[in-house]
Amino acid sequence: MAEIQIKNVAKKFGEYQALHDINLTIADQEFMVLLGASGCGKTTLLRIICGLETATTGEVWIGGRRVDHLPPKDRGIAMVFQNYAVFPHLTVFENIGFGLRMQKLPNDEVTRRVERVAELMHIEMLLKRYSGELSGGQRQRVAVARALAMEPDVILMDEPLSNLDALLRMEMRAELKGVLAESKTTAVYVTHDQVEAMSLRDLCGLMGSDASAAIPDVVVGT
Amino acid sequence: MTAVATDVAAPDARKAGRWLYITSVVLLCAWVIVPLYFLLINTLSAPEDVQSYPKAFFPAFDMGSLSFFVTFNGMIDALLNSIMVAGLTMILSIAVGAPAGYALSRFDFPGKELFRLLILLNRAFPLPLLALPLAVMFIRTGLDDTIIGLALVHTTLAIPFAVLITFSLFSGIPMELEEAAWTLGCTRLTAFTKVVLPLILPGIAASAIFAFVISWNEVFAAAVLTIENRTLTAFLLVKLSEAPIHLKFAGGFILVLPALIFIFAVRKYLFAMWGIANR
Repeated sequence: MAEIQIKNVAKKFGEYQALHDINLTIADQEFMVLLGASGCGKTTLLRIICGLETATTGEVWIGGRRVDHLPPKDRGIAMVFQNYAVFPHLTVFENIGFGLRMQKLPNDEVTRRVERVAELMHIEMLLKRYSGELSGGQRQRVAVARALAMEPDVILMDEPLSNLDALLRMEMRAELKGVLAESKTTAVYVTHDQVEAMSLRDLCGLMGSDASAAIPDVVVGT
Repeated sequence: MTAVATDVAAPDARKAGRWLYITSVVLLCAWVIVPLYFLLINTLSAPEDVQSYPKAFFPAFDMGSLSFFVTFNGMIDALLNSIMVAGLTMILSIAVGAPAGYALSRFDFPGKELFRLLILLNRAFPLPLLALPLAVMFIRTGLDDTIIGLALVHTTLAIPFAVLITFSLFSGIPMELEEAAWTLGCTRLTAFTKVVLPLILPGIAASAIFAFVISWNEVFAAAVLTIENRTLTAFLLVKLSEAPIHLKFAGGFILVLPALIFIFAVRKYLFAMWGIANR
């Protein structure tokens, strides 16, 4: 049960109003894409759901619990960052297993989950390498694997494919959709690429003032 | 035609430039290495050979000067004092400087720029100017002639470097790594210890060693603020007139050697620091 509800969320940075009164519901196991031009506030909204930013006003509910006062680790979420944020001092195995080790899971459980997720993302041969020895695409897959290994209720992705070449992007899109449908995770995906949005989403929310096209299912905020 | 002329002129100019470059490099190296070489030669020769000329190219590896040094009254105590003060300086400057560097790189707070400026200005004060008022204050508070008193002064000297180096270190670690750790089950503290600390530990070590060397080499404050518990630098300064010459060589060598080794080991981080500070 990982429905996300955003109620009347607004965010101000000093004098600048980044988000005006956002109301949004993402159903359980739905793949929601937040689409918008750069600077429209989609990453800010994602970070508010994640817990890395606090909303100036409003509430965030995940799985029927109010979470906006909780730190990221207590919200049942996992996030994939735009620049992957793979830990350079750990092997791929330890990166993917980082969250599991923080939960103090037994060694064989950690190994089982890491290997399963690594197979899912086709990186099982890279487990002993360090991030410096990986290509961009491989690092991106490590970042997604790390989030998936946590088996979160909600997975949040901030433009994870934007740093990849076109062909790899297409491949990863298909893989991601399949992987997330299989793991029955609610997903919120931020992008500025409409093609990506259209091919991935169950539901697409358009953010920002560019409400021209008939593409979006939902117009989010102003 | 003109193209050919410049082609002919350029190699000559480049050649001359190259000779100039090589010569200046050799001179600079000699300027540093030759005194060190003499120091080494005279330390490792028999006490009588110190005055001889011309010098043998290879040292005789006679331990006469060094053994005299070691048995000279008060020398070992002075050496131990130097080590204790430098060690204390190292610990204090990291304990204060590293959190400051972290705060400067991660947080925005009112007065941040002023704080940075003040840290840098700290080094602008000439130490002789401060040393005598400090001595008076130390006598009043009872810190005079103590290891901790001198360590406090040295810490003040070392803190700007500690803050600058740690600031550039922490700035080199993207915030995203810490944020990722927060989403994976870490508190702020565990994210710091499990992700940031392993990455900056070499740099912190370098910063600590630099603080050690600053304290080790410091002469003026040590000479003014310590009487019974002299550090090695102060001790040698005071005994300079009385001591036989081979003792001075041995003392100089003992003083130079740790600094030389340490600075060589951490040169990578010092280059980074100066590169950042030049912006």
